[in-house]
Amino acid sequence: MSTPLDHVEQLSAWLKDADLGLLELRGPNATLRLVNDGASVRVLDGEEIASVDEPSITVRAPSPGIFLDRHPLHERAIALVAADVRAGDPLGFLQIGPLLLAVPAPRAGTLTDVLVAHGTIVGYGTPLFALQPIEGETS
Amino acid sequence: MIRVLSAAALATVQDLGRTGGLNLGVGTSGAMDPLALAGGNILLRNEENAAAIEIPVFPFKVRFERSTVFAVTGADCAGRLDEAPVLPWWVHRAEAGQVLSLSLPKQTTWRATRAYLCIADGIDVPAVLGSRSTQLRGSFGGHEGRPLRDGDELPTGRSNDRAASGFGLVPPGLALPLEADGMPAVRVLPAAEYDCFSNSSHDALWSTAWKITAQSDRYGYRLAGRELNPLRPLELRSHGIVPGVIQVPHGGQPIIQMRDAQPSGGYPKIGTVIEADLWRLGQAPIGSSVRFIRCSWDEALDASADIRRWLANARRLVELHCREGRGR
Repeated sequence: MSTPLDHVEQLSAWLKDADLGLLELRGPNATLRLVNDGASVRVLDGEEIASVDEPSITVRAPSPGIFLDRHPLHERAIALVAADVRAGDPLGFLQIGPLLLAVPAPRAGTLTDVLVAHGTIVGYGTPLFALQPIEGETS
Repeated sequence: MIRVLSAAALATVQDLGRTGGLNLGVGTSGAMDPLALAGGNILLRNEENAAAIEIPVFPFKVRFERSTVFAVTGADCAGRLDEAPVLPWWVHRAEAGQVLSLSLPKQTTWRATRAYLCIADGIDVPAVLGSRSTQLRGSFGGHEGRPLRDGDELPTGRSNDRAASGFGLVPPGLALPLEADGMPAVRVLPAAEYDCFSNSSHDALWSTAWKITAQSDRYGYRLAGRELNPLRPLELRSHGIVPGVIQVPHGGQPIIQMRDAQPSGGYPKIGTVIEADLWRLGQAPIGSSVRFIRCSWDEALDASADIRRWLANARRLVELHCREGRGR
């Protein structure tokens, strides 16, 4: 029977094409972890890596809109760099006419960077935030 | 059902108002900021005229007795659901037993004073004369015809499964600003006795600031400013008046009739705040000042069309967003 381990090359290519940082597959007898650092994709063997090595997550715009780092009625950004956030917490907003959508944290972590200025028009998938996940806490 | 834990004062159940009864002496009541109420009902995908709680004094605290979806519109009251922050003009989910606390409005980017707690399917008090609004003068409608008290239990409609959480609206106060010389303003039509006032009164009306005094409430706003004087003493019989009418009693300090105004009065009327701008007045804090901008009948109708357009656009985008979410 074919296993993902037989297709590392293809999976690596897909990972690179999709600009995804990490692919992890776990089975009863084997674990495959592929890490894409932008330049190349490599296989991490064996035990789980320490959290310091865990790649940071890029949080992308879930829709086109005007990026807002704060609620329009508020004076301060809703999430500040270096702040810890829980999975689902809004990191910022996207305004589409009168409609306001949240950009939620995909998992618990520490906000390490805001990549776009308040008030910028962004497209679908534009990188907005860098988030360092907190080990062991997933959404 | 929701239970009022701390009502402060003068929180009432309101919908868009009890229209069609002025000729019978029944005032309109209804939300002082009908745009905030309408916005909340759009967010929750409620029927347009669903009732909410209007909250003018803080802190205010309620407990949700069963899980529901809600939005706090109007002023930003730094809401908390238990410990979690509640965004203004945003749809949140509450579980049974959770407590919502609202505190003194922050007026940093939009000067507003009244908050509306809107709930999926609305506050389900009986409709009286076609409305769920509290008629304080007649002590009917709303919840037992009176302001809410600690311990009151308010029935809510069965939580509709139409409402989704996790999105919001940009408050129309930011999208539809209106100022004159940097001061919040409302548009005014000259009223029947306008020509009976002196030229200097006309000047004062259009070009000076009017302070909203502490003698201002849902019945009417008493203003302070330059004295408005008729050319000669005016005595009128009582006649029908509507919310927005600016009366000038002896003494020359005007009164704007608001949602709980009585339906008749005998003071001369210098102007009428147009219906499309009454929500702006409804949010104006006591002690703040407003300016009056003269407008024509056509401009008043255009202003109403602007409001309807904002509401229609908000409704369209919320429906698109909610349907898209359902398809995923």
